[in-house]
Amino acid sequence: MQCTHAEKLIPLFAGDDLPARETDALRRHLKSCGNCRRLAAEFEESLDWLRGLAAPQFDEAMLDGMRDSVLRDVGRIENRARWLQWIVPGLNLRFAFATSLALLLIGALLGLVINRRQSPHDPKSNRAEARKGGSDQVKLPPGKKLDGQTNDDKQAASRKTDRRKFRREPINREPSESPQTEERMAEPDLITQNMDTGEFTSDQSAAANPEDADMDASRDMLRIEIQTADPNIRIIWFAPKSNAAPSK
Amino acid sequence: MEIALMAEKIEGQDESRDREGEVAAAARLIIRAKAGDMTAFDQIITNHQRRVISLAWRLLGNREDARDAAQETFLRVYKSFGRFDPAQDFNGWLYRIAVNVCRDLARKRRGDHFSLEAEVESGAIAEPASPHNTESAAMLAQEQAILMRALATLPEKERAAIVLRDLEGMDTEEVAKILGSSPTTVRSQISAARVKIKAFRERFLKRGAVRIVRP
Repeated sequence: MQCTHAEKLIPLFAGDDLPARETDALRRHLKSCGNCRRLAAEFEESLDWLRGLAAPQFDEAMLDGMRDSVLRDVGRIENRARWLQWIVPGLNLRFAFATSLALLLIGALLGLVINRRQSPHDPKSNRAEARKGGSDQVKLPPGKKLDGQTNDDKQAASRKTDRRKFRREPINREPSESPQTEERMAEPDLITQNMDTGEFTSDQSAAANPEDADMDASRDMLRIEIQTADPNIRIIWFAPKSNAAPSK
Repeated sequence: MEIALMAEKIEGQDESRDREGEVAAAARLIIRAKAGDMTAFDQIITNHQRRVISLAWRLLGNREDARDAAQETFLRVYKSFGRFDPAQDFNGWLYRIAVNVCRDLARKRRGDHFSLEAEVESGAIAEPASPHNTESAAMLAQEQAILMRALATLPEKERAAIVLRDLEGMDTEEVAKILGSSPTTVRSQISAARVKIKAFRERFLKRGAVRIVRP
């Protein structure tokens, strides 16, 4: 055995940690090598020195205090566990996981349902919001301007934007109907829906409006007007009357 | 001659019977504690607390930390009883938990240097062999402090390996099981630790800082 190899084995040899075969080989080498023998003696001395490290004496009071503290903590854990068992009998981790997952799913579904009910595409909620918006307007003193407009102008504009006008669609009637009805059908009223109140009003003056003069020229056409949110844009749609006599 | 041999044999049988009885009693205690018997658990703490706290002190080098580590060890034992197989070696399992707790605590307090001077002053390290000889007691305390310092210079795994092997007197296979390593790795760690301890001691001996006084 070489000294370099023996030097590697000596620390383990000093503590009897070498397998029997290597121990025998090293013993044979130590018999013939003084340096390695001295090194082995030094390691044994060092190990004895280390083994002299006795643990301090821990007094009984300290040990009792530690034990009491552990038992107190264990009692607390037990109480908590008992309380949980009382709430959910046979509670285990799988059950807790499944329950929390189910609750999460239910919550998500409820959230989805509520969200759908309050969807902005819903005409009812739109009307409600519009109503709310109308009533919640900031009241400024007269003459005060908000974004360069007077308070009155603002209100007028909002009323105008909420208003939609359309013609009542003529209904197909039987020929036996009274002539008054036919006349009424020939000159349809202008129906106005006020978005503020949601009421429909028949506007006779609108029919006599010079704007609608072309109506007279095309009595056999149905005119539908839709006032958009922009007061400057009005959609006018002419459609042939369904009850108009076909030209044969 | 024959009678003496027979007497020895009977004594040996008695001893092994006593040991078997102790093992069986310990196993019964563990099973009772596992079933939630607090008296049994209390008994287990009483039986093992000194060894656990000593191990923690050797690994952490501080009395207060050792106390905290021992406390946490028994709490973890209680929490993990459900996973413990009574056929397993309880001592090995307990030591494994204790070493892990000490490792966690040491990591938590990595920034803090353990104060050997404070330990010596508090009398934790000094263990006077002859109370009448104060000088020898002081020297012994100093020696112990240097030993603790030597252990503190070792890396975490080497320290755990050498404490379990050379100070707790476990064999390499047991140490390997506790540390979750192979026996070869543990042997290598022990060897490296012994070389470092020897070098540390020689450095102090050369400086004349240590005069080894054996009672």
